[in-house]
Amino acid sequence: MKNLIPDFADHLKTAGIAFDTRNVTPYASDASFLTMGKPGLIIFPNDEAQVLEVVGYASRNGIALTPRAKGSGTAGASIAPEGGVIVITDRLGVVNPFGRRLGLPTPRFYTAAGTEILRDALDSHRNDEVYARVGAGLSTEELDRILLPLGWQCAVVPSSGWSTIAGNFATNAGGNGTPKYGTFQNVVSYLKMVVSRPGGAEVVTVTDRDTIRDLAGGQGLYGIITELDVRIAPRLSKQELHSSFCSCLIDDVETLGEVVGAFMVEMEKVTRPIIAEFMMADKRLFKPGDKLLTHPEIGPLFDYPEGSYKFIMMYQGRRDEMAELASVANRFPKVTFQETGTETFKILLDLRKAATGKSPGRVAIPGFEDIYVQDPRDLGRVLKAIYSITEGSLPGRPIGHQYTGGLVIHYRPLASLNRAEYKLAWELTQRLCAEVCTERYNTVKRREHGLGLELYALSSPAERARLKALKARFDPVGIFQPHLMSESPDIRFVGDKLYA
Amino acid sequence: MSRKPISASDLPCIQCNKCTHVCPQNMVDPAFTPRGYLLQALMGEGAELEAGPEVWRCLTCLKCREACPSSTDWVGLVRELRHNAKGKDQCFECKHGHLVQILQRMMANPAIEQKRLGWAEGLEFADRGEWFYFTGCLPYFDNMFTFGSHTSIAKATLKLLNAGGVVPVLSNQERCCGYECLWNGDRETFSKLAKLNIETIAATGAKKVVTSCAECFHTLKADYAEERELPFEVVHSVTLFAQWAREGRLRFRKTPTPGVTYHDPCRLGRYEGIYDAPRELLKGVAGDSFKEMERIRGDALCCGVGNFSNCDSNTKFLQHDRLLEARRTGAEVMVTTCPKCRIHYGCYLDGRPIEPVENLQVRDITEIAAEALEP
Repeated sequence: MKNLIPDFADHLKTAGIAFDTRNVTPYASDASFLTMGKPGLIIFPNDEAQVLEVVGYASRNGIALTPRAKGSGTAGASIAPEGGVIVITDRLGVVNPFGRRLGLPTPRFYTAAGTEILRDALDSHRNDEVYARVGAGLSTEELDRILLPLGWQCAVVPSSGWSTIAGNFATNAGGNGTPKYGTFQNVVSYLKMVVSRPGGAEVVTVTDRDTIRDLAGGQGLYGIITELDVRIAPRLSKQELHSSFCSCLIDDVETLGEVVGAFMVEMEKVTRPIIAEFMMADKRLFKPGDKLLTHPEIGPLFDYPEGSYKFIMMYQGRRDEMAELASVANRFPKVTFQETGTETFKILLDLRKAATGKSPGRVAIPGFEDIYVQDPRDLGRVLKAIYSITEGSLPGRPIGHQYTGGLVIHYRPLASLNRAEYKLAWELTQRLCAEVCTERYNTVKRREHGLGLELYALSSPAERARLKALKARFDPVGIFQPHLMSESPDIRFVGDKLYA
Repeated sequence: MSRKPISASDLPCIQCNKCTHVCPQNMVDPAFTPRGYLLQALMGEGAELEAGPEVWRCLTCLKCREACPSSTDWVGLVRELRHNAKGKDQCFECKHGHLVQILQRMMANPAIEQKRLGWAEGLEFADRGEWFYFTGCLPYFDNMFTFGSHTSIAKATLKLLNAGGVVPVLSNQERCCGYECLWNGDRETFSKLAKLNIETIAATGAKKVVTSCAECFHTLKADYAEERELPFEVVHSVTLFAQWAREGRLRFRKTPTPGVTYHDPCRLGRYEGIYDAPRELLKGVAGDSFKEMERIRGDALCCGVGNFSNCDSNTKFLQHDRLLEARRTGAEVMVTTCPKCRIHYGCYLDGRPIEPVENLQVRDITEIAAEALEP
């Protein structure tokens, strides 16, 4: 079979599009530590015209493309099969006329109906749905920097904020803001994409919200997004913000989960948090003598008797929308409620992030399978199952997000930097998902950043039909991520090759 | 070196890509990816990295570690890889014909005789004493880079030390600190220079060493300390002068100056965590005319050149971006605490390779402070 890469590279050279065929190992995996081999070509387009050129050539020559943005990629969606082509999208709409990613772009603003709002008039729209039109390569962190002087912020920010906005859409990411605004499928109102067409490529725009919702989480399956409108929200002052934490201490983990689950159901009825995060308290998060252990509010949270379990919930939202939280907590004798300041809340949030497993000297084991608890009332049974499998094994703890309509639990066993523990942790994660993500617990397996390589494999028959219909509409040539449409993807874990 | 070499298995990288997101080199070259190179190293391809150009293009600015959730030492790995590459006769490109490195190798010869104190004529200094002023390569830079004076920083530092009641030792035996050698993989020369400098300083009886260069400061304080236990304390002049100003030992008149802003050098900021002292000193001198840039402290942009080894068109774009950022504050002077940053920005302002940045000077903090010193 003819290797199409050299000709493609020649074409790119002629078209003045940056690429690399020499050093491709850096793109052999992502934060999933999954691999399908080394790609053969990495392309770095600067703008929509260059994307059109790339997609057109690939379409005419039947070459598969894997778009890759700038986030972590924890589901393997940004890796290509051996010898494949990866298109880096993180510069689209964010480079200066010299092709350098320097300085910040100036977005335009729109209402949900698509009417432009002048920058100076933004303040008169504080109660409206407002969207910023941005290049695909912009990150939420960068957009937040642009919006800060205007008194606005991104409505939904995945925990790090460093991922690109188009990447967030492609993975249907959630994060801070999701309890109130939803995941990325709910906060995008306009998309511009380069898609394949027989004999070439075309730029299409999508404004129909149902179609946009369908396209979210597509993991690059339909085309390359070049521009999109993303929802922004007024930045709340400290006075307007309610920040609090609730905790629950019980010596039986199943009962603990039942109480917490019931509390979550009740609080969701009367409050509307912007941030709702949780973690199991774990003293192993701290080094001996850590100053935080003497913090007047945080220290006591981690002071609990051996053999008992403590669940910590963190809530932040608009003061008027969180007013009922204290009274709900009062109805649960085992739940304590404490309002706190934004500074302490931020420390707690940072701790919650650290609890995911990103700690020096150890690594959160890849795989990134998550347990999606569809009904918080099942939390007790789920926690019991998790602990029965993980207790006595590698360190780790359940942490997660309380989204409207379900909980996402991350459990990351923490491995020391050696191949044996890496393998052990990988096996533990696999076992955890196999035994806990079942109908018995009313849970499903998810991956943190979209379904990735298992997009098709984990989909129901109805979802598969939907994927195929969208694929036929937007990628009739079938050049985008064709390997994702596999019932049994060839997933290989590189973790046991690392740290030899 | 006594330091334990870093190996791939010391790198707790979780591939989150934050390093690449903040990397200045990635801003100007999309193919440059610390995350990717870490993956490459973890996958056992460290030798391929050594053989390629990537390892020489890292600015070692440490922005990656600032963003890293697992404190992965990519920059430490770069240093190791450069050392290994050097052993295989691989080298970096240098726009100055490797002049600095040649100079360092010459200075590493114990028999070489230097006359490096001409700039200090008429100023007060000693042969022996408690304080040693480590001038670094400032006397040489005057002959290497034609834009601006570099010994003016040394003169200003000496003036301020004298005003604070200190008559420091200056020595013709002092050598380059070896920073460029160390970061370009030539540990052998670095070790020789470190040994000679430690012996020279110790022989004067000095217990405190003052530098006015962020790179000399970090090299002496951190890298020399890895070579052997130091019989002296190392301090950057800006920390000392800020402290003396606080104590009333130095007094400045607030002069009507054009707006000033401050550029955090990588070695003083991200490497040594010194952010407040320069601002304190600058506010004491410039008062309300001091304005902050957008990217400051740990988020500050690097000047674009690491150890004179990777200056190219991308460097000029980074410098242009930073100088424009300074200009946007309304400042007409961008102040720094690293003579090398000043050289690199000075090079841009002198050559204007992209477009002119009007009405902006780059100056060292000691010069500004010395001019404002009350008699």
